Amino acid sequence: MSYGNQGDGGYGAQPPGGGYGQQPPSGGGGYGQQPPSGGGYGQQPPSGGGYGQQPPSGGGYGGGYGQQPPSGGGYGQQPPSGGGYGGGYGQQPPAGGTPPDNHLVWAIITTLFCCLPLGIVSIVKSTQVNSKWQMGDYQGAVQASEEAKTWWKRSLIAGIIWWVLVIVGYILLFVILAASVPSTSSY
Amino acid sequence: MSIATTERRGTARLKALLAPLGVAGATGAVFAFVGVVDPNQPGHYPTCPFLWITGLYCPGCGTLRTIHALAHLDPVTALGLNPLAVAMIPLLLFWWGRWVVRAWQGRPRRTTLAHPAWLWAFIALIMVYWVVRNLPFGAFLAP
Repeated sequence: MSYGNQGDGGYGAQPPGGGYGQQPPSGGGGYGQQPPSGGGYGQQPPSGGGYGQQPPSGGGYGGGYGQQPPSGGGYGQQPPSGGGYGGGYGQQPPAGGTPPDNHLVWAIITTLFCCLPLGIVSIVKSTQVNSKWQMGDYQGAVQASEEAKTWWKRSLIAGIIWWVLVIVGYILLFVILAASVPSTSSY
Repeated sequence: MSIATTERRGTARLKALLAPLGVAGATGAVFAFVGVVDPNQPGHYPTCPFLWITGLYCPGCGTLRTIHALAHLDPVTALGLNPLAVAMIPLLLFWWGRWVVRAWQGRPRRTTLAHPAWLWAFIALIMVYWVVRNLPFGAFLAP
């Protein structure tokens, strides 16, 4: 009932109320185990606090997801554009306050020391890690970190593919030459 | 915390150093290989795909020859080929050194992030470098 089934929902597809599977029992409004008076999420009374439709005030949502303990927060899988989530992550740097890796070293290496200029995208993402972390958007920083990693890997893989292609091309050329030379010079 | 750090056993410290030492070894291998197999000879290495497709230099063009020059202790030639890559080497060495120290101490590799303005300036530097080394008056930056 924690992260797993939430990831299936896909980033950004979640209603702003996100994390409906994880609210503390005191939330009352949780579907699946709510008391009969709590109201199901199709027809709940305004105070019931079903997901996706609860009033902006958080309703019966157990005091709001802004204060739930880090273990309940579904961190790392929430989109940075999580809308109503905003107040929450502003106060809780994940994992003891250590910022995510901004992958700047690999971004620089893949940009300046090899490969395709795709590494430049990675440097931009690295910068976003620092920017978002500084602004308190810890969620966004974690996601930018992942994207930075993705882009330097793409750059590296593209470079490796290029090298393999060229080397295979050389070998083919060499084989063709080697095959053609004896046929013309044999006697 | 400091007591726990200082009481870390020697094997744990050495294990933590494996990753940075491995990186150093791989870098040394690259320098040795590129130093022996001369990138100034055509056909030894593939051309940069960006240069091959567009005919323009990318920020990384000339780095193989820069590494070759550095492996032959020729910093002047290296600076003439890819000065930005050469300028990055002290920075990379600094980060590597900090990584070694922190791995030895058992601390996380990164505890704070630089101010984003530094990184935005760095991106601007790379973009300007990319453009200028393709312009006539920027020939001194071209490989």
